[in-house]
Amino acid sequence: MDKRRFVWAYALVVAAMLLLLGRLVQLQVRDHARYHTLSHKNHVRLQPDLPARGLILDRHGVVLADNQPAYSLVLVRENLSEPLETMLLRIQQVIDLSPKQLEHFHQNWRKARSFQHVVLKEHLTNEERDRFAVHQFAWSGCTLEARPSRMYPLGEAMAHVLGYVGKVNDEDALSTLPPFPGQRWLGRTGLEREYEHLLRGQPGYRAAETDAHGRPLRILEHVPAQSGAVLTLSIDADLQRYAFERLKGKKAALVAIEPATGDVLAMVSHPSFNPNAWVQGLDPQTYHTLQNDPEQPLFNRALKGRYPPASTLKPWVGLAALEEGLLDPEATLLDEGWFSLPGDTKRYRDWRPAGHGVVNLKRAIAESCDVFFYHLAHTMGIAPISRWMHAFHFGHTTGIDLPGEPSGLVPDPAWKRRVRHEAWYPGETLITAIGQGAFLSTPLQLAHATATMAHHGIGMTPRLVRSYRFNHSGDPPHEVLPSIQNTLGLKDLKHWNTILEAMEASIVWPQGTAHRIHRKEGPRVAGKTGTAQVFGIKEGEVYEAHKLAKHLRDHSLFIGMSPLPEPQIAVAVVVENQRGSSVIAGDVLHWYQHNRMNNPS
Amino acid sequence: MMSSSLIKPWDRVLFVLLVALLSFGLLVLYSATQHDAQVVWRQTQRIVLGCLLGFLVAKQHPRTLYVAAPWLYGLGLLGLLCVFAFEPSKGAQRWIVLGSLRIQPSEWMKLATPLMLARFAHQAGYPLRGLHVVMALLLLAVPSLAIAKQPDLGTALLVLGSGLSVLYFAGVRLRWACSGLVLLAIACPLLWYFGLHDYQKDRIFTFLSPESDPHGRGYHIIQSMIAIGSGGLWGKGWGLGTQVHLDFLPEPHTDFIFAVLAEEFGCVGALVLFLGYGFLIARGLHIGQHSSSLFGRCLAGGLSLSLLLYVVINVGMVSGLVPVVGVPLPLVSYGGSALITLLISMGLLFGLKRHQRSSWHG
Repeated sequence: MDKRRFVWAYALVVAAMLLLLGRLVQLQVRDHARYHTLSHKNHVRLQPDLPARGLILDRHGVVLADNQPAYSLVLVRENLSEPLETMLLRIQQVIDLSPKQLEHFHQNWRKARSFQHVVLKEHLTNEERDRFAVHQFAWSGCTLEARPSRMYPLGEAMAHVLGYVGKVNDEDALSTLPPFPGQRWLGRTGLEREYEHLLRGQPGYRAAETDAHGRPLRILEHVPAQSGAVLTLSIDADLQRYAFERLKGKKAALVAIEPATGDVLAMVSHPSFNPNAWVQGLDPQTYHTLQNDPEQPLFNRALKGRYPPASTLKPWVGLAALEEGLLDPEATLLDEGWFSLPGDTKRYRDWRPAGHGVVNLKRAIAESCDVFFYHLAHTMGIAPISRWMHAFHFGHTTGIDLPGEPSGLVPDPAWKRRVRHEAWYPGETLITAIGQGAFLSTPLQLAHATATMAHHGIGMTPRLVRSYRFNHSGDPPHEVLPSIQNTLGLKDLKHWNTILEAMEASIVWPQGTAHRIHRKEGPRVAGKTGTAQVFGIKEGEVYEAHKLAKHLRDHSLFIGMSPLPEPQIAVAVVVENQRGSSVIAGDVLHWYQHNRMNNPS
Repeated sequence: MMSSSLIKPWDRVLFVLLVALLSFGLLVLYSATQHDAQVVWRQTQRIVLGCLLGFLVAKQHPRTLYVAAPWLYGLGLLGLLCVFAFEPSKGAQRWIVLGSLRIQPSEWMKLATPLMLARFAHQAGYPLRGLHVVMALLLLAVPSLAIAKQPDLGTALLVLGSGLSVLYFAGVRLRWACSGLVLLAIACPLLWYFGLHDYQKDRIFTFLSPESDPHGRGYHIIQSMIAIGSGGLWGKGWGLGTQVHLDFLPEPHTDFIFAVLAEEFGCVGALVLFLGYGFLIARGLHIGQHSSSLFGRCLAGGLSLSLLLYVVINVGMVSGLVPVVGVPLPLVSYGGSALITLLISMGLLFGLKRHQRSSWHG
């Protein structure tokens, strides 16, 4: 009895051991392969595969934003054959290293593993690269690393439209489009920012087998990154470059739009800045200088500059009067150089002290007669004027695909009460009708209104991006279809031509204010000049530009289109504090006629 | 220096097996702690201490133990009650803190309970019947439940197991065991709803399906099985286990040390370990079998089978057969109190073997 219990006990021991052994065999022999793989999977690290940023092209395929390799000098601890300090000294004999770069480097060096690349200097110049090549054999542990860097071939000319990319920082994680893991660059302004979601592409990853220290040993799996979309713009690079050259030395803006589609053919703002410097990393000094420059090179005047449209508004006021039935095209008026409201002695002067004599609408537009429009304004009243200006889409944004567009301003009694808490004076109606006073419009909005006029009332939304294409998918390009922003129907369609002919007259007639840009041969051009007051001159005084400080001088504006009767290009030019907008516009129109209109583009 | 009359009765087989297992354990421990010599040194010190205490115990005549048993048991029970007077540490009340000294009464009971039951069995006579069985079960149940309440389910099970082993050799009829099992089956759902803590329920869930929470509760088991499985037949080599050295295996030097062994020495290495334990346990049973008193038989048999229980629970847990309970691998896992307790119980075995020939009566 006793002994039996012990026998069973022995048996139990054997049975238990067999049980455990069986389990082990199950795990270690039968399922060995699976666990072997799992144990491997434990040390697999994912490395992001970074996508190339999408290119930006003009309408003919000229590259406007590109990716170029930028070279960095890199050190790897485990490959160093001499102490770090010695190595750094030797490098500095050949390539400059700033204290900041060294400080940054040392910070990262401390944190890095022995096999990791630590950047010593970024954006090596070609010369520095050549020097490195010469010394490379002696510097073990030091290599070059190439990374894509954004490059803008047109530089300053496209800076405001394209914008620039900046390095990703911590705050970006909180935005509506947070950066993907490993993303280094992010569009900050302009198109780079507006189309960030298309340009940045999709990251991929590499699954690398790593050892205990995280050192990658081999690639197990690779999902390639998808590069960003290639954007094709409506911009004509050659036109843009030409326009930029013509604006040099001035504070000015130019916008050219194709009336039928809303394509923005050119959008220039001067002075400008070099976006490539931003990509390489601006030192705080330069940044501050740019920011505080009174000429405001960082400010996109074409998009955001708000100016009184001045006399360029007259065609629209004239059109409004025609449509309201308050004006007959042939009706005439005597302009003696001034206008007074009934019961008021104050004289609202014409720019020509003696006046223009007997004028009808056509002559009033061609010679830019202020008094005629004072009369019109007084007859119409502010309400219809305001209503029609809104109908022409003044006082609104155009909806262009760029961030930060401000709206214009059409002053009226309601606005004045709301913003300035004052009543409306009848004299303000007069001034509003000639586009002065509180009336504000941007060059883009002027160009858009001009294009709408050219298109007989159908205003197309200005667009910069015409299409975009993802190269990897093999899909055809996505077209961005032209869309109608606003339409204006007239009771009498002949009124369009009435106005357009008047605008043509301002160029063709010898006494027209824009006659200087007339060319004997070539397609028909229509336009309107304007001069915006910056500094109010008292009644009785004469404006003498050279006597005023530069920043107080009048702005010069011009709107134009060509060829009549169906314009293919509408342009608006604003030059601050000096004359010459009509000449610039004329040259640009001529360039376009010469280079584009004969060849179908 | 021991005289030859003392040396001879020392069981050489037991000694050799013990030394072999302890050495193997130290080897594995060295790898499991990422070549930390400090840890290995500390473990060695504990081994020495345990051996010393074991030696002292082995020198005692069984009668001394027989007489002392109830006192030791009573003291232990007192200790078990006292723990509840102290602040819980890590959610458990397992210690009596006297200044800087921390005493774990549950460890004490691992030895005191089999001693008590062996004495009781000897007194009651073979085979154990009727009312005596009930009393014996009571003697066993009280400390077990008290320990379980701390809560320390692992130790409670071990105490219970060792007690039942003693009673087995005391001649308790096996139908008791069967009815006991039936009772347990009925008690399970009751235990589930009223008895088990949440974390213990979690452990059972994890046991049934570790993949459901691979980064939380299931992590230990999954990593452990990966370690074992990836070792294959021959293992990856001493010190070359990737699971351990890449920090994937938690607690590699304590409860999960078997996984390290299995990963580095493979199935073959584990087999060697099992043979070591197997022969050690068998030797213990052998000592019991040839013991001159019922007390000795019950004690030796009980201690041997409880060692088997240790091994089965730990290896079962590490390989995913048994839910996780905190039971270390005997003689190998890093940890003071369990190791010392075990070496003292080895001492008891040595002692019983030495006095095999001398007969005495209680």
